[in-house]
Amino acid sequence: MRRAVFMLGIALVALLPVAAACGSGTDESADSPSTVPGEFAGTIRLGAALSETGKYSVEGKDSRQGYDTWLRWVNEAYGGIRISGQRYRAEIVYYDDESDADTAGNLTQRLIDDDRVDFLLGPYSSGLTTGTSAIAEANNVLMVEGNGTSDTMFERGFRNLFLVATIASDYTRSGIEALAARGARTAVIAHEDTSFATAVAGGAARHLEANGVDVLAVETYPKDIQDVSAIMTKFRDLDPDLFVGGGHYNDAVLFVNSAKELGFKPGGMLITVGPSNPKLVDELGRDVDGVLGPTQWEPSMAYRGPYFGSAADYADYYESLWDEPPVYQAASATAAALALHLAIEAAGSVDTDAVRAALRELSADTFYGPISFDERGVNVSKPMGMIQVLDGDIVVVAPDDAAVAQLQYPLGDGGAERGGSGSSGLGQLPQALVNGIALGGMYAVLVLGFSVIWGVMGVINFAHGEFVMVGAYLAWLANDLWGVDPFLSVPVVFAVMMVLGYAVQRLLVDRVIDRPHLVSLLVMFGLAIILQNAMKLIFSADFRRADTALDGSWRVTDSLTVPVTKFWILMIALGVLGGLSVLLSRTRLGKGIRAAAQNREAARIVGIDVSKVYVIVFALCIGITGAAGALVSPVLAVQPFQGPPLTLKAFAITAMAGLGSIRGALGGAMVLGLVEAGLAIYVEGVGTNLAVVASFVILVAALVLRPQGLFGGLRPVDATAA
Amino acid sequence: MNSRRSARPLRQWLAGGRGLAATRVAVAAVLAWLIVLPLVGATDSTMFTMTLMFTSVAVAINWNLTGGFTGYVDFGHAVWFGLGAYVTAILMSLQANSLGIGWPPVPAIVVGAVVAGALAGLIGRATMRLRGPYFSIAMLGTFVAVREIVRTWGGLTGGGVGLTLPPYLNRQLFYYVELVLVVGLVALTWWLRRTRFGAALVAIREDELGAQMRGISTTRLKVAVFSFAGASTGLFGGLWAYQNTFVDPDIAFTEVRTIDAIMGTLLGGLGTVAGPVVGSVVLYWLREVLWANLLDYHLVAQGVLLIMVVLLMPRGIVGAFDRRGVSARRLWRFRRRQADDQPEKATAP
Repeated sequence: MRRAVFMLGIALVALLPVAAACGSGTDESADSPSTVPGEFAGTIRLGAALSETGKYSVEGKDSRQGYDTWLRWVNEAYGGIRISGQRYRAEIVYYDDESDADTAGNLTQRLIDDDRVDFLLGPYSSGLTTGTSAIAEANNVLMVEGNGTSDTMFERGFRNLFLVATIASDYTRSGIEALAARGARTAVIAHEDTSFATAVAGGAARHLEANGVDVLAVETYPKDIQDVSAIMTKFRDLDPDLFVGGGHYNDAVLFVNSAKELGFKPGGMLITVGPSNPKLVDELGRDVDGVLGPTQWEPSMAYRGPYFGSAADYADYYESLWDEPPVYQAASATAAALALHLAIEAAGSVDTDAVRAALRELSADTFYGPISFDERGVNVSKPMGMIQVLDGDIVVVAPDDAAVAQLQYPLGDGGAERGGSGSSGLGQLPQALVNGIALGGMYAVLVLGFSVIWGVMGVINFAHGEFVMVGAYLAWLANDLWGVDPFLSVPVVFAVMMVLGYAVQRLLVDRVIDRPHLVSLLVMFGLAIILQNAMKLIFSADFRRADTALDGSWRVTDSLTVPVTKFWILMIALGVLGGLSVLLSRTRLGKGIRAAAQNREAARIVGIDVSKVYVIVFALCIGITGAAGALVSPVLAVQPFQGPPLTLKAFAITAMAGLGSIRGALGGAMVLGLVEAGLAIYVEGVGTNLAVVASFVILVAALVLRPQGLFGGLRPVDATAA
Repeated sequence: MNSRRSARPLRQWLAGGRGLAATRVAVAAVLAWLIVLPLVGATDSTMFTMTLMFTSVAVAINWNLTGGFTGYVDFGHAVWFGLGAYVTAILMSLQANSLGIGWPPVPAIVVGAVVAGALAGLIGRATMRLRGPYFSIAMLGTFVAVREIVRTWGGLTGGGVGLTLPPYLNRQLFYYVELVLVVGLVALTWWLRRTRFGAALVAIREDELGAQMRGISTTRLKVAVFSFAGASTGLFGGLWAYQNTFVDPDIAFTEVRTIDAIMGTLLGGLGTVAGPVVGSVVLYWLREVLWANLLDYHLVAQGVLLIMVVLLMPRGIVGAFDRRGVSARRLWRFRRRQADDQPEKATAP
């Protein structure tokens, strides 16, 4: 809860300066206490569009603090930018790009035209930098940045874009060189299919081959992946020395957990995003020991320069300003502003051509490492660092001039335990079946409430995934605050969610149930937007995971493991399905529910209180849905935007199965689970991507080809037009 | 004499009916203002903002063609935007992972629109057999499936990395091109409402079976309109890709474009000519106000706004003024009746 209050506080504090900046474009630094305007000969104005809201809000805040660290330092400690004996005050105009490409572009144009900034500092993320750098290029304004590292944007021949950080394709270079020197000979690569992660993986493949390491397989997976077990199963059977993988922080959690679950033990695990973040150690504890990761910068690195002193000095200064240690995104931002500052001083003017020439000539040692740019505008003199988690500490192990500890390789018994390849005669079929059934059990319990509400009430609960998400947060909260196992908190979450369901039914659903589908669809959709963003305001967009005692896996054979958590979810799912089935077929209430589903008017005539039935059904189903969220909270990452994909899967399964059919929900869930697991295991390279597409293709195909569903349900369906 | 004669049609035009003169004067004034705006010193930034607004207005108008006129509520309309953007990018890009043929922009954007329209025709033939929520959901599924296919088909689309286009950012040119296109779209919908074709579309919404019995080939009509809307949205997608100089699956295919089109149309008035225009502009303005003052809360506020509009203002802003505009209330009532018919037709299992 303290975190929640803190986040609200941050939001409120952030609100004031941004409102001011939006209104008049005034700068932030005006309130710096020690600045006496008379001292300065003029002002040099920089501009940046950064993400204060949206998916990059956390990194956007770090980048902004990085820029502001330079700003405070240059105006207060350094005494202003020096140009031919005069001192100029620096200021930075900020806008919030909402993590959105159109907004970022629009604001960059506004910075150039309306705020007339002399120079631009980069936004956060490769995607936003790619778009905004084109605007900078077209308007001949220099952009110096440290947080957009994808190679593609430096292949466009731009003259005005400069990157102080190491480019994405070199992220793994020093790590791979060190590992190859220690004897690694084979490797597998798994990467998210986004711009940045693909560039990192492409670079890794090149560096591996250049160092004599064979790349046995490359697998891709989509953003926001929830399950990498298929990829890890394939990799386990290849038995490589090295695993190289990554994309987002959450992927690192999945890789470590899944490798442990499946008994996949490569000699080294190099994960491109996540290991340098102390959160990962907090979250995974001992499991993450030995994991390697690249880092742009760490306070412990042995770099120093004349401006902020050493890396550690910079970290102290940063912490004195913001009460938290700097992450590398912040250091990169400070370094970008510093590089620009040095180039302006070297050029002796703010003229774009002069400063560009000075940037090209720049060669400086800084707290961030050496900075000098090649003809693309990329800083090629700073190598990427590599860290390793050793006994819960994050220590730099490469390159040699920055290392503070010895690289541990191979880990434990390495891949030596099993010797040869693990593939047996049956191949991966047993594992594919187990994965598919485990996934199907999870989908069954997740989809049930959606199917029954649609079947009985004719309401399409577009906020279904959001109720799962709220239930998952409740379980996570209980787990985080009091250490309650999510399996134990299921009944409580069920009760709480029933109350929420009752309230939503009374406040919203009751008002739209007699209106056409479009109305209820849109109202529930509005509710989904509200729930997502309210939860994001309270808990931030960080991925969470509840801990359960029922984790790990049972090893049946070397190439077959059963995930424990998913097994118990399947058991509980079967129990819930059976219970609901009995309720519907054997009890008086169940008869009333079925009657109301088949013909509301007739049910009313025979004396059934239909609106009471609706209240009970809705509350019960939301309770089940929330409880399902609690059940999967150790498996699926808990985050505010986990709902929409689940809602779509619920659609797909329900459309396949028939509305409100309990057997259908189970059957449809199993079909989807098996199809996804089969595709993921049997298709090389892009199998996991195809598994994600599968449910949507099934959805559309099922609707078009067999709109009444495969299993028949509570409510007859008449989906085709005329 | 001469001047009196030339004044007569103008006077007639102005005196078209109660409140109509004022509307026409206002429309003419806004149009004149939009035409001269870039000439009286609007900055690139202003013109860029305006073209983004034109884009959302155009997508809303296109959505309204099927969602408002034929009553087929499309939850995946942004798929045509993304397809137009991607085809344009693939044809224009010189990157090795696209075709690398570097077409000039005009044919690339036109082909993008044609491909989007053709695919809309194909997919529409299948999905428009579905009705009510089933159509909505099938389109949502189509949207996500196409996005994932684009992401997976890396050899052509650059996969998750996306494609970059040569940066050519003449904001004034884009401004005028999109202004002309939006005005053309408004004129087209205005004209459509006055033709038999338009009447047939509304008949599909009001009673599809009845329309069929009166000899209207409903399938052909609704697929034709769906395909046209897809092509038109694809055209704006292509223009957008060119201006953004960069596409990847997540920025080209974003749900927000569909949501904005639906919200803008509902706010302005479903099934009216001016509704999508007025609604999208108001929405844009509202968002700027909310955005400036509410930060993260603005998304919550948007959800609240959506629920309030649906529940309390079903006819939208324009619907409240325009009597000839289709009464959304009537629309709601009708479709409910159709839904109520369902159980009666059914046989008990």
